[in-house]
Amino acid sequence: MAQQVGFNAAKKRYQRLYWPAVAAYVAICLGGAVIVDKDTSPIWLTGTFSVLTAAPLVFMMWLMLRHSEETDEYTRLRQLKAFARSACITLSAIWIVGSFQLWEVIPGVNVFWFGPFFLLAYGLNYCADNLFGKTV
Amino acid sequence: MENIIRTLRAEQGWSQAALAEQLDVSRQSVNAIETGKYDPSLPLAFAIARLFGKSIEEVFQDPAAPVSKAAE
Repeated sequence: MAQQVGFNAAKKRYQRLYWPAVAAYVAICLGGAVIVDKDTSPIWLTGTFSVLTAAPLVFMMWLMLRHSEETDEYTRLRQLKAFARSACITLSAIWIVGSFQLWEVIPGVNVFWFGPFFLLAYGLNYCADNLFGKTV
Repeated sequence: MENIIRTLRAEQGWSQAALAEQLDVSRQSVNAIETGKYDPSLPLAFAIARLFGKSIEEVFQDPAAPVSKAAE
């Protein structure tokens, strides 16, 4: 586990990598839209861009976790609580939607959208702590 | 846990952000501690007390603690 480095240093370390990752994600998405044609491009090219598109998102998620480990104790508590709650909500949604799919009640759902769903749940849970009740 | 951080901070003329900067925590942390929404860990409680030149007992009070005879 990473050492706590304090709120300000953790924020700087987070932002130093976060913004390049966002820039890389945008560049890859735009590049993919220009270079890849789903109907005609070879599978290796489509596959490469799939991995390249996901890589910055995966990296940013681990960056969030590192920030939680390094920041001050109250921020870490709020972030990890929001992380745990949003993970529970997202997994619940996956199991419910997955069951519908298994029983062929609904057609296939793009798994990709559970990622933004998780981040939305995380953001809402993080804000909810500001509005309700005692933290500890 | 109750505390007198808001009073001590006002005496020094510090904003929540200024106190947070000195403790290397977020402003939200200072606000949560002041309002009793969050009880700090021992290391942070010591850091707060040290910053104001007081002991932990002077800064933080346990409302459930029995009242001493001297206080009565």
